Amino acid sequence: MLPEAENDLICHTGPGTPMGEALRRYWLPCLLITDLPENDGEPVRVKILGEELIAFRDTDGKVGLINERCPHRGASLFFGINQECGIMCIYHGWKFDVNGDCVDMPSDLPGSIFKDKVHINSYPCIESAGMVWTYMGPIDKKPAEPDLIFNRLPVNQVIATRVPVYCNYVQSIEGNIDPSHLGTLHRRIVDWTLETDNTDRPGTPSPNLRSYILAKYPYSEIQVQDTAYGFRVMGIRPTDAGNRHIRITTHVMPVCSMIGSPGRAGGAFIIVPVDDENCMRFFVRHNPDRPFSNPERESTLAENMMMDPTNPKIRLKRADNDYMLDRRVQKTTILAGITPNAEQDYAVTESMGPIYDRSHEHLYAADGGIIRFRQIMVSAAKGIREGIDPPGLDPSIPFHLIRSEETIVKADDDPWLAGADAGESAKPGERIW
Amino acid sequence: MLSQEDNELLCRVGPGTPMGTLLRRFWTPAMLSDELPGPDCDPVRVRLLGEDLIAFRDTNGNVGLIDNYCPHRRASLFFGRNEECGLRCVYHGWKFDVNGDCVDMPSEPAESNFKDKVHITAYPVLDKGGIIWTYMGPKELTPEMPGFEWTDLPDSHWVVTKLLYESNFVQAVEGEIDTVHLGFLHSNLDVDEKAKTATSWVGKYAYTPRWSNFHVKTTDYGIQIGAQKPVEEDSYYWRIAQWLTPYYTMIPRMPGTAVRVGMWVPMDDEHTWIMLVAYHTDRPPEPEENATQEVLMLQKTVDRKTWLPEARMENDFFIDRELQKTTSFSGIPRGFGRSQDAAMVESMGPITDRTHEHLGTTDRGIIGMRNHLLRAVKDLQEGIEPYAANNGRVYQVRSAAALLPRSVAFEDDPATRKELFVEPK
Repeated sequence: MLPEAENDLICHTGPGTPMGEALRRYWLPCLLITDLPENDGEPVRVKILGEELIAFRDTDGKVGLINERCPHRGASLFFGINQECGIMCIYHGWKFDVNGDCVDMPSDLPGSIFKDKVHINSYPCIESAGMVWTYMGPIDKKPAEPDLIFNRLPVNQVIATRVPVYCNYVQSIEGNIDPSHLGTLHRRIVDWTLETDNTDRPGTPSPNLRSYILAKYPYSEIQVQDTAYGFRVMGIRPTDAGNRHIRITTHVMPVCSMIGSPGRAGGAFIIVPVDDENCMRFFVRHNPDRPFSNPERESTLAENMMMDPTNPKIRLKRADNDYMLDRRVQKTTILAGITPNAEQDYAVTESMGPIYDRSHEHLYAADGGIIRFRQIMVSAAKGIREGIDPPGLDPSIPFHLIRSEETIVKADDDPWLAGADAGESAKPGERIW
Repeated sequence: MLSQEDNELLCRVGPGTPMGTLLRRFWTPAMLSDELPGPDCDPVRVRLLGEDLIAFRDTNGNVGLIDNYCPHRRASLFFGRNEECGLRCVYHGWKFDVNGDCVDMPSEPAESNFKDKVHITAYPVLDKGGIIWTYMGPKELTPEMPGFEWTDLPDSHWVVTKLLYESNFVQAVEGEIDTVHLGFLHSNLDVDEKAKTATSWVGKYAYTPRWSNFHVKTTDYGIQIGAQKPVEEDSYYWRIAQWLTPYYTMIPRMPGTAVRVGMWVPMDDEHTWIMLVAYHTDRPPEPEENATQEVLMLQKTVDRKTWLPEARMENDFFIDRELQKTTSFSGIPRGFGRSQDAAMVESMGPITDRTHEHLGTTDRGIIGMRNHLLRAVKDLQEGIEPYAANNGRVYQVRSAAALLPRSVAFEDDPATRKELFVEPK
């Protein structure tokens, strides 16, 4: 349960809100690079943290992210002409470059210097890991550019996808740091008929064993560990052979969750607020060893960007069609009756309402990750007003070594040592930096 | 730039708001006459200045404009039966005439006089010039009808149409009196090339130069906006637009061509009814003229249920980026609505935030209009009634364009004066 005041504090991210100010201290992805495929191509509307913006790629290939509304009389620059290193408003021809400088004002009288006084709000952008990232905070507070594992890999070893999620970003993130729903929401009915196999020993479990354990042991013990970049949340389940099956999901502040998966190569969800009642879900897969094949790339895109063919701006499976829930499938094959996995997550998180009212909920031990996340967010939002920088911005953090993990360990091993490549403490609740 | 306070003052039109009170001192264009085609026709929903009303034409052909909500238990009279000189609520049979009197209450015992105590809000109406006008202010202050020239002409001499803008009325009006955008928004990429061989004033001068010097004059009816461009060796090309209190516009026109009157009437704070008229004083409008063409095109593309044209914000006004790169400055194709203008005005948001704008010298007309309107609102708050409301003759003007020697002011040129002012009868 969260008091209404604290719920408002962490859910509202528009300009001038405390949480909004805290989130503006980080680089956030706002588009896929493929959304701006060519120089002088079509401008794209971007709404992020409640701000309506326009992204464009100029003649030199630079990405601009500027206010949607022309500073003259507020017409949308979406309709603008993107050419010769700037975007020109079609109303009176005012033209702005990627820095937001007004570089031409042909409607003004000759000799006027009005143009030099006009500036449009613009945010710096970089392109990395298939995404366009922007920084919307004070320039003197701009942190180092994102440097997670996928920011360092060659583009062919990364796949990034983007979909709209029709609810507040906090509840969307909460679903990503909740390892206990795996025993229910994402289960197939066949999982309850599986048998154990010879991978029940320290190391990576087989897909079969993994499903067997998740179905047989729906209860997982949850532990949380604070880190310099955020926190790790671990779900621990027993195995038939007396070992422990652990999943460690790693949350990198403010909105990136690397999902516990075998081989330390779990995908990451980056949940970016669009406005208070909508967010964007970026899903980033990486392969540390080799490029993705085309079929791998295509199937990842198909599964994670399932848009409505009649209106490609909106998701195909959504509340107004009950996520295409099939009750027969629900009885016979897949517990949720909805496919694929991502859509199962949208169904439950969006069904909580546009901004979930946390004053009526009932949390228990399995919600440890969620509770810690909220505490960190509340403290970041309160801190910003007192001049305290939000967490996870220390430049000495080795971001590129941060991993998630899913593995089997011996009963008496310290499970926190798993996936601790970035030097995380072995003890729960302890920060080493 | 306006303060947030002045912006609110300018844009909010509901009952009791300062601007709403000012607008309710004038006759208001409410709908097209042909929306009520004959006696006992279907009732029509009319939302005006934030009020939900129902219009109907009774058995005798008289038009009623009454509150949407039956005073009994507030069911909508849209579902009512329009019969025998009144509109009858289908819930309990209460019936109201065009004056708002309850003329029948069959659900009450015959001896009850409850019916005589019940009245529904009814606004007086006038059916003139293809438009049903209404007056929504205090009865004792009923104003004169604005003396627009076309409203006294034979039906054959004008054409009229209506559509909806999804934005506040002030930014819609601003788009009309902002004549400098012609050289950008409405231009093609080859206009400079074509200007070399063009013969018409528009072809030769509208786009080169693209800027104008704005001369704005306050008048009894509103403001007169002259845009002056130096052309040739020794001449000025003048384009003269009118803004008439509180929301009428006349865009510049070539001498002798049809006059176009725009009415930008608030439906509510975030929507605007647009009624456009094209007329000639002495003959029917000619279909090949710009003003007439636009009216006829809109008559075809506007959906008479939603009053939205085919091209609208939800389809990005059919913007064609290839066209934008190769042919047209805006890339927004013509012929599917007021697309290019609507894209600009509606994309500002439902009520544009004027605290963030940057107005230059070519925005003098807009600044003049706002000042005039804000002055009128503040005057009325101090008890000074709007002059134009009670002097309908001040509306007897037109727009114009002229090519004149630099030494001659357009107001001193007899031919231009003849275009600008309606001759008194």
